[in-house]
Amino acid sequence: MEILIYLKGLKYSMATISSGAHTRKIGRKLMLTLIIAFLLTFLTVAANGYTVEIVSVQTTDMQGNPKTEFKRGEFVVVNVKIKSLLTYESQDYLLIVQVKTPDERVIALGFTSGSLAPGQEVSTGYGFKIPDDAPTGTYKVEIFVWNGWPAIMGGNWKPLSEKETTTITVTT
Amino acid sequence: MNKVVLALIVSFLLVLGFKGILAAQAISVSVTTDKDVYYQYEMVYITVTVTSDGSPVAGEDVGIQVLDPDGFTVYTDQGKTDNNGEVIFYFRLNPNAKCGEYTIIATVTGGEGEGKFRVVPRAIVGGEVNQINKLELLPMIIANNINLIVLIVVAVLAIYIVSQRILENNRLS
Repeated sequence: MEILIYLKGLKYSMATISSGAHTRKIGRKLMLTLIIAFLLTFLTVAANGYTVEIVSVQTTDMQGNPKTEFKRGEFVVVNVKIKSLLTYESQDYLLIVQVKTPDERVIALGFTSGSLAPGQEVSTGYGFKIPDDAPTGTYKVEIFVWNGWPAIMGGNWKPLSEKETTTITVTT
Repeated sequence: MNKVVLALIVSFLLVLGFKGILAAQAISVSVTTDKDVYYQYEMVYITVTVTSDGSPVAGEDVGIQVLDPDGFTVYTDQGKTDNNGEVIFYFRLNPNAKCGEYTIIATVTGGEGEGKFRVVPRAIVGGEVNQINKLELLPMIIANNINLIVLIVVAVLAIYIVSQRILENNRLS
């Protein structure tokens, strides 16, 4: 017997349990474990519908020192720590970092992709150089975690987490 | 006991599955911009409307991706629809943004929509004009009006010659 979960159109295959005198005992234990795992996952996911949590976002210099004030021409590293909220299967992710100037222009847009095992926490990020002629002021650093690009995923697109925003200050 | 639990789980999963399938089939996504054509460095406002069987869908996550004429991503964003099923995104085009047709792709789980807009070079709306001495403009004025000046000179000479001849004839008579 195969247990399948359909959630928002996505199919989650939990396990296949074979029937038979010997395997029935193991099957009951396994089923109980699966039910508990399913309920825990369902309760977590149902709370907001997201399957990845952005644990932290931190901007640093090239040496890894945390800072939020940068000069024109300097490099900024955006470190993002994400965690899978799924407890029973892996999931692929696309993490996008977008940086906007005070006048809402996109001056940096980078991405990274990978796979998260159940409950796994991963540190990733993106670095960019502030142009020498960039305007001074407060810049928005936006982080998105999706299951893929909208242009590729179409109707199967899904955000895996809430959008996260932080700021940096650029001076002369 | 196990059978009861199993039956409950199967029923629950079936309900969830059907609900997901039905919801996914009916969703419609429309994309509009405040203008069809933008200058470089102009703000672009994009409205995405999500409906299900004609009714607005509130609280739906919308992902957006804007591609330049060469297919490179220049802007992405994520937002939630309001009670009217709408979410508004905005960004400013770079001063050196590529000119041509841009494509907007908006997606929700179970639906997608597409929009287009064009970017044209920014019109020059200002500049600096130095004070110029009027005498410096004299050669340019002469060059531009040389035909008129020659005509006036010839006319003056002709009038002078004719008037001299008239005066001379009067004197002789």
